[in-house]
Amino acid sequence: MKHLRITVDGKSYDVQVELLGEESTAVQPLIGTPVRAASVAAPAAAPAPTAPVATPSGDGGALLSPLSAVVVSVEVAVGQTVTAGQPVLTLEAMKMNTVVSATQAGTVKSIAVKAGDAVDEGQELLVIA
Amino acid sequence: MAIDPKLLEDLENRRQKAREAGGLDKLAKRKEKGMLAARERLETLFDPGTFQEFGMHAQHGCSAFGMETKQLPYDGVVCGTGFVEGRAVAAYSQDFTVSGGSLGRIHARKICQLMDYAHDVGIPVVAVNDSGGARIQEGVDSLSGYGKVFFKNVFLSGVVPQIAIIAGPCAGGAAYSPALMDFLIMTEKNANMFICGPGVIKAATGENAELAQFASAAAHATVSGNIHLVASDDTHAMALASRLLSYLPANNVADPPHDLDQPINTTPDLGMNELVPDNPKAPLDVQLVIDRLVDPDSFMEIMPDFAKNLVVGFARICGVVVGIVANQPAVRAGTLDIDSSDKGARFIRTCNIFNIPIVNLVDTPGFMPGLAQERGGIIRHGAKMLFAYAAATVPKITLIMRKAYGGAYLAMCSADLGADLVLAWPTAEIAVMGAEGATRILFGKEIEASEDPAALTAQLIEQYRDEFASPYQAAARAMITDVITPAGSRTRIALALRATLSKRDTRPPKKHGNIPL
Repeated sequence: MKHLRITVDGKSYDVQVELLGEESTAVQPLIGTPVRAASVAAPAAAPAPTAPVATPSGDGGALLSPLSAVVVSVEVAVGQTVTAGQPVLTLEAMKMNTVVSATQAGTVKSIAVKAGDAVDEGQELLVIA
Repeated sequence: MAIDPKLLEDLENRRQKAREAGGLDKLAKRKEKGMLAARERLETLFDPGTFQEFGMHAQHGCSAFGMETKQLPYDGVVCGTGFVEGRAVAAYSQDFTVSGGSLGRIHARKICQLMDYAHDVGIPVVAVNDSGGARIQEGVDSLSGYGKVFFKNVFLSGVVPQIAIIAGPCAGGAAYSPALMDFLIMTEKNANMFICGPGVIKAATGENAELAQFASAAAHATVSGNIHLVASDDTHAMALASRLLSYLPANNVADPPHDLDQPINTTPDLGMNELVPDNPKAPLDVQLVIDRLVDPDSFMEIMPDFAKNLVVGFARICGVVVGIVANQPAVRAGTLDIDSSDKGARFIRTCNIFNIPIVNLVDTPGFMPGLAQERGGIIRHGAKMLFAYAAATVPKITLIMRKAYGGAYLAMCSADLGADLVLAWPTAEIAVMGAEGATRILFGKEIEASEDPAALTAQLIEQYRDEFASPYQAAARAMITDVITPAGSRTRIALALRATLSKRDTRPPKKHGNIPL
C-alpha cells in the first residue's frame, strides 16, 4: 500500500494505491540500435606517404627518415663527399638499427640531426648535393 | 574433287585483313613508340607456332551512330590459346588500333567465352589490357559487357591463375577486371591505370593531379600497391608473365610444377652462419638469407617496391615450388604494418589457392607503433595475416631467425596458427615483448629504488634475455620443432618440404571464411 498526494489545478487529493502484483511492463528493446560514435578529430598533420613516387628520399638530395626513430650515429660530416649507397646515418627503432644510405653521390651540404635526437617519419636528416 | 581454291583464297584474305588490325599505318606508329601490336604480344607470350585464335571473324553488332558501316576486325580483342614453356594457357589481347581497343558487346563476349574455356579445361588466363574504355556507341551493352567480364573474373578466381598485363590505357571500370585477377604486371611506359583521370579529378575536387603521380606503373608499384610487377616494355611483360606461370599449377586441383627429380643437398651452407650479425640490433638483410636458402636464381619477388619491410615471392628449394614470406629487418625494422600485412595476406592466400607450400622467415620486433597505424586500422589489416595463415591448408614451415615478438610472432605463422614445422636458430628471441620493455614493466620499482638504476637495468635485461628471449623457452614448451643452425637450414627446410607435400587438411564445409577486409 502506498500513500500518494496528487495535486490537480492547485487542489490536492490524498490517495492510497495498492499494488496488486508485480506485472511486467513492456520493455523497449535496446538491441539493434547502436550508439552513435562521437566524431574524432583528424590528426593535425597527415601522415607522410611512405614512398613518394620516383623520389624515395625527398627532393633535391634531402634524405628523409624512413620511420620514427632515435639517431644512433651520424657517419659523415658536412663537406664530405659520399658515393651512392654509402651508409651515412644509423637510426634505431623497435630494437633494430636502420641504416640510412646516400641515394646519390655528392657532397654532404648539411646535417639536421645528431646522435640521440628523436626523429619523425619523413623528417629531413641530411642533404647531399 | 579438291576443295574450291576460291574458298581457301577467301579465308586467307580474311586472315590477312585481320593481321592488318586497325590499319597498317596505325601499326607502324605503335612500332615507332616501341610497342608491340596486340597480336604480336600474344605471339611473344606463346611458344612459336602454338597460338590458336578464337573469334578472329567476330564483328560488332552495333548499328547506331554510323557504326553500321564500320568494320572492326575481331571486335578489337585478339583471343586464343597457346603454350607457354610447353603448358597450355588462354590469353586475350585488346587491340588499341581497332576503335581504341574499346569494349563492346561482342568484345566482352569473346573475353567471357575464352574465360569459360579456361575454366572448363583448367588452364591459366593472361589478359593484356590496352583499351580506351567502354565503346560509347554501344551504350549500356558496353557497360553490361564489363559486368560480365568482372563476374567471370570472380568465377575463375581461386580456380585458375589469372594474370593481367596493363600495356596501355586501363581507365575507369576497365581497371577493375585486372584488380580482380591474381597478378598485375604493368609496363613502365605507355600504360596508365586509374578510376578517375586528371580532368575528372580537377572538375570534381579542384585538385591538380598528374597521371605520373597516381596512374603510372611507378605509382602503383610503390604507393598504391595495386600492381605486382613492373615491366620495362611489352616483351619484358610477357617474359614476366611466363616466369610467373612457371611457379603456378594449371588450376587449383593440380600441383605446382615441382621438380622432384632434383636431389636434396645435405651439405651445410656455412656461409649462412656468416650472415647472422652478432649484434641483435644490427639489421639482417633477409634478401641474402633467401638467396642462400633457395635454388640459384629461382627467387621471383612479388611486389618488390611496395611495403618492403615484408619480402614475398616464389622460389624453388631443391626443386619444390614455395612461397616465401619474410620479414625484412633492414626496412622499417622489419615491423608488420598496414601495407605489409595486406601484401603478406594476399600472397599467403594466393599460395594456398594454388597448393604452393609456404616458408616463413621470421625476424620482426612487432607491429609498427604509431597513431597513423592505429587510426589506419592496423587491427583490421594485421588480422588479415592471422586469418590467411590460419585458413591456409598448404604445408607451412616457419623458420624463426631472430626476433619474434608478441602478436607479430603469431602473425608470422607460429605453431598455434597452424605451422606444420617451426624451426629456430639459436639467435631466436621468442617472447611476448622485447627484453627492454619487459624489464621495465616487471622490475620498474626495483630499478627505481636501486642505487645504480642503469647498471641494474642492464643486468636485468641480460637476465631476461637469457631466460626468456631465446628459442629454448619456447622449445621447452614444445612450441618449436627444433633449434637448428643457420648452416643447416636449407637442408632441413628442403627435407621438411618433401615430407609435407602429402599433407591433407580438411576444414568444416562453409561458403567461405569472413576475412577482415
